[in-house]
Amino acid sequence: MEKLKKDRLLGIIVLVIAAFFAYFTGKLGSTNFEGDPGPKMFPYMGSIIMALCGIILLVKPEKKEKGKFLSRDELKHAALLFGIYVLFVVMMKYLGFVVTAPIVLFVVSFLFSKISDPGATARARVIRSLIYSVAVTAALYLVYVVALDAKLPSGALLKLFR
Amino acid sequence: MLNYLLQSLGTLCSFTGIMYILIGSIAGLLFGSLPGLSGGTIMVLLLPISYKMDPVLAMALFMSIHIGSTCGGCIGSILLGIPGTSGSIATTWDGYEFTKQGDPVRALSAAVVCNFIGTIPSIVIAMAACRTLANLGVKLGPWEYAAMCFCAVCMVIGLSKGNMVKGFVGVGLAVLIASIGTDPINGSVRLTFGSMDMYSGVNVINIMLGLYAAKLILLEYARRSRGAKTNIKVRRFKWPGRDLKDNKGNMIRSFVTGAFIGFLPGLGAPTSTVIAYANEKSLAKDSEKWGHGAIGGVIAPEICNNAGIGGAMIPMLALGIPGDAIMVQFMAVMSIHGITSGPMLMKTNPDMVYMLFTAAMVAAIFVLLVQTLGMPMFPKFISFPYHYLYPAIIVVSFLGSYMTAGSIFGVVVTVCACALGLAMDYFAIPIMPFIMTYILASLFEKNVRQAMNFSLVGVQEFFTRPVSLIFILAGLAVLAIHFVKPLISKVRE
Repeated sequence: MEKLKKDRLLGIIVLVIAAFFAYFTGKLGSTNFEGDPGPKMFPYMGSIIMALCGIILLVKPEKKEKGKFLSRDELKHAALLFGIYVLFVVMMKYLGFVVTAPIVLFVVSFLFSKISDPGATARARVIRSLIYSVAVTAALYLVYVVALDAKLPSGALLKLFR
Repeated sequence: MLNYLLQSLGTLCSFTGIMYILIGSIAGLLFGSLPGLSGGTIMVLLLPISYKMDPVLAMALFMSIHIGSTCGGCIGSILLGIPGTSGSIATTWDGYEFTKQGDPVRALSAAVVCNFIGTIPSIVIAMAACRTLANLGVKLGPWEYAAMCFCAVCMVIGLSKGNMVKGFVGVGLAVLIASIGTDPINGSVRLTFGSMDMYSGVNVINIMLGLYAAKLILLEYARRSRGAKTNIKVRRFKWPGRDLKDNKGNMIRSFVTGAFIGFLPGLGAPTSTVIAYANEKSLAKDSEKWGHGAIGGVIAPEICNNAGIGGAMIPMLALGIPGDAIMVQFMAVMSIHGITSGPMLMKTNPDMVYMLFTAAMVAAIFVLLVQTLGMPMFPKFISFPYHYLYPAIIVVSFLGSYMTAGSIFGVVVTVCACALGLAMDYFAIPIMPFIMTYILASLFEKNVRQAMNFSLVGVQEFFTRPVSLIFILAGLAVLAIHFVKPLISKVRE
């Protein structure tokens, strides 16, 4: 039953995406090259494939049942790490790499150590994660900035104070 | 040819060259042996920084990672019963039995030698075939290339077992996302929704970092993956002379299976190794022993797995059509350096092509040495603590995304690709048709439109040119087989 719902939901999403892209493709200009179908052809092709798939999924959803993708608990954990990813992007934009990297490394390392190193005490895990995050940030800085001469984000907020 | 081979060997014999190969081989072995990760993960992470490397040496590094990872997959399979890579699933069935019986060295030794035996001839075949195929490829027009792309995508859709509609959803989605940015023919900007960042399209590297690296770590955390801990003691390498002698036919047949299936787009090692295993089991005199610790059950998938390395390189180098996801990454490294793979590659950048072959062979020797000398270290390989590895992968992948796009937009794309990957997993949409279509999309569109532009009779010409027609029919046949097969089995029932 859940599978039926899932496929129908996918069908609706796919149809919405197809309609969205088809609408904006319609607004594109045409080409001057003779015989060339123009820039609209490819996105229209994608929209048609998606629309057909959407209709098939709505009309004839897969009947076979499949195991759950993630349990409720797993979903919570996934949401937590995804939240950290989003926070990483925001922090990198405003605070730059040097501030963001050690914080994210510390948090993620601490979270993972709870699973892969359950025998260690909380204090030991914090200390190890702290040392790890500083060491990895320094190593990454050396590799990217010193060795590869790469320009890493310096942070929009921090720029204001300079 | 010999000239280029010697030249690339000379480059590899320098201190830098040896270090690239050594580091690549060991990193590949480590990532390949760790369940959940693979050489592909480290390659994706290294893609953004490869632009700082010498292009030829970057290819050598990536090839050595690929070889190391392909060979390292058997370590997890044999010692833990958990395959390190998808190509080592079949090795688990018999390999782990040896560990349970207290003799992992026999299985590991046979696997290590078979990895080497599978790799070298497959590279030699690829070297010969690439040249011939590229010479043919130069004579092909946009009609044939468009038909080839169509055929490759159809073959990958065919892999969406059970639900081809979802394979098509992946294709449609890839076509739409690939349409964003500048049109490859007349340069007009499309579907950017006013964002300057999207003018050059959505970079495939940013997408791969999200789909493979960021999503992988997220799922590992969600599923509370503890990593592997083992107390198994592994002794020194033991030459498996007798095992190899008893399995000569097995080795030859498995090699042919691996090399041929490796050549076909999308199928790759997970399919070929299972076919080789099943085939050899049915032919074996001691078939009742298979699944309970038969050395033939380790030899067949390991030879087959490595035989596919050369096979997958052929369409990528000679025609610009990637055989699997790893070859997509090789194409991405080339594109970072402004090089396009395809039939002209052998003429414009022969140094790069031959470096790939030489690096593969040298890396195979390095990996063999590392595996034979370092066999007692294997349990340490697979016990690497995840809480030190995964956070670094996240930060490196986001840094890589930033460097690829040159702005935070790249990291946003990676996070969105991670969310897309999760949604695809939730709805059981296969990723392979999506990523293959995405990498081929621009080539396909360019060739279709050029063909229409050059043609005097329009679409008809796709069907009147023999090579183009063969590829179109082959693609349609692959799709038809998957539609007809269930109907036939229904009728039989």
